[in-house]
Amino acid sequence: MKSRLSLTLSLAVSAALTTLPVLAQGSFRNPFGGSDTGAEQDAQTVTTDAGSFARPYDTWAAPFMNALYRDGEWGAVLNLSEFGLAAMEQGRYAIAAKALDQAIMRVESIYAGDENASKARSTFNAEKVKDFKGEPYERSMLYFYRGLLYVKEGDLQNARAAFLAADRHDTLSAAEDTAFAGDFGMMKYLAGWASYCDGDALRGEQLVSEAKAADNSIAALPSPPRNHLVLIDTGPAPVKWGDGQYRQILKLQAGTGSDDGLTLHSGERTLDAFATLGNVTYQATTRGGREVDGILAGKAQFKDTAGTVGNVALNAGAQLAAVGAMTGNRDMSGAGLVGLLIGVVAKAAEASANPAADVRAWTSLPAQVDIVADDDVSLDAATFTWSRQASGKPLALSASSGKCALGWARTRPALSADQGGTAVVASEQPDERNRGDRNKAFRAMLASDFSPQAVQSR
Amino acid sequence: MNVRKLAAVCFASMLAGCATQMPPNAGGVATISANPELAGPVQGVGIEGHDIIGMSDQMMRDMLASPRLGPAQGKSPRVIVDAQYFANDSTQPINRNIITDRLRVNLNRAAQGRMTFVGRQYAQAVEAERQLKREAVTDVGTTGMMRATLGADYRLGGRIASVDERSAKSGMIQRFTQITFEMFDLESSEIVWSGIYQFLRAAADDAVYR
Repeated sequence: MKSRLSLTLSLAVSAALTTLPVLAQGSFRNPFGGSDTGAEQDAQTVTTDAGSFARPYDTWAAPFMNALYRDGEWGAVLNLSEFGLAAMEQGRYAIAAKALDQAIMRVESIYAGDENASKARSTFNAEKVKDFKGEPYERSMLYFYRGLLYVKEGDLQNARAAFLAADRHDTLSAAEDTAFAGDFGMMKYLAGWASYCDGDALRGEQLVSEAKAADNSIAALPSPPRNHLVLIDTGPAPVKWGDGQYRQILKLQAGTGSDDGLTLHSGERTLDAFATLGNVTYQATTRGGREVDGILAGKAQFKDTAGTVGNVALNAGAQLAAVGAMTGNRDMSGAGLVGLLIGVVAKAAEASANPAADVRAWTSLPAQVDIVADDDVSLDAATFTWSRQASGKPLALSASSGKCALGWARTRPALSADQGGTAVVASEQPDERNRGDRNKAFRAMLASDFSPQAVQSR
Repeated sequence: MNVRKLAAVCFASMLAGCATQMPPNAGGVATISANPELAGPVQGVGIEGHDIIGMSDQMMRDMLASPRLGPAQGKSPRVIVDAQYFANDSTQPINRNIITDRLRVNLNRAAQGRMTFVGRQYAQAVEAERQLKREAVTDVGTTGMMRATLGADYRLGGRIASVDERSAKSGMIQRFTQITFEMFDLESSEIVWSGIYQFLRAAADDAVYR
């Protein structure tokens, strides 16, 4: 009788250990899940619809439009940024500007009281449940590219504002207060260049001085800047990954490889004296700590503690229950069962706790931006080569305003990876939770503002 | 009994462990408008639609009340109100036309002849039409031809500027925005009227974005 009871108890505990954690994951997440809007679609429907939505687009644009539709607001900033950069490279400047403006609008929105951000801070949800906004270096580069487009539009004042906003975003990290604050000199240097071109020499001089004071790497650049600049994005984007036992520590490192030997060809002239204007990898890897890192560390701590408590409670509870059953001590059996219950709940909590860092990244960014400047060089029909490209590649963007001219290009394509580019538009499970209404509006905006005709036109 | 109490304590402790130490203002701080005359928290939000409405209305009322911009010796001054000399020196890209267009339209409607508005931004269209009339490609219209287009007396200039600050301790960001409007004499360069609009905004993003 007593052995039968012990066997029964053992089987019950085994069943609980295997099934309750799975059930409890939902129980633990739901109290922190926020509330759906009622307009959420299921993942399969969204994935299918995204494929249909993207079908009419040009080959280069289709993967981006698929991701935009599929991910909705959850990945909007990332997907808009990648699409905007690819559109710039394709010479679709108007749609590129529109995409980057949409991304900027979201980056500048204050996410106070946002349900998904709150979920990201909770113990039982991963950080990546939040809408993507990017790390400071990614937000900074978003404004950088928008600034180039303003130069293309002939709006040097807004170009300056965009470069200054890029500089500001590089400082908006909790850890950037001291060591690395305002050290992305490229942005203020370009803001100074835009000021000079706009006829505001005083402001230009001030900005260039500030840029050089903050960033030693551009100390050798001319002051005032030359009127004609050529900027080339080179190298691979910084790589994000989650380190630590539970991938809770966001780390960044340089991508593999580099693109050396840049040479600009314009008519009879050849220029190879490129200098590094901005090191994106350096900005990414010197970001310092994030406030959310402390939260993720707390989640990891909870996961460890819950696991320990669960193990202890299960062991103790099982022993008490068994001894109580064998000796007929009902109080001991009861205590044992309580211990088992605590152990199961604790183990379920351990399994449900998710401290993983958000490692989504703008993968089509460059490692650095190189510059060559010469007022005697015409950017019309200029091409460039580098170590892995022997035949001349034309500039992707060429703009002139008065006495000033700016050219821009990339060594590595900003297209999607499946088309030989650097943008990893990965297949993700759509996250519609708490975003039904917003995603509905977002997809309607995509259909109206980013129609195939709009994306196609130059 | 002691075992049950111990179990209850353990359970309570585990629940307490669910609470993770949060940084200050972890859930963010909704935007607040602060009196720019006083020191405020450090945050940043930029110019919004209601600012454009408010500033253009405020400047319009002020310009209408200015005697230098009113009729003199029976003649209404001719003014140019556009974005040509209205500079953006802030950290926020913005369409300056939206500010000056609203100011010009509301001022024109409210001035009721006290000022004459010169559409210098349409100069190219005007010249093209004048050319057609003089070459007899078109007729002279219903108002006839003029010897010259209107010259202006005063023109709008100004600047949008901002100062950004951030507190690493509280996670708050703050922006002071100042928009300056001036009307300058196109003969003497005298500044005949000045107006200023300013605001201070502070907010904090959710901790997951800092």
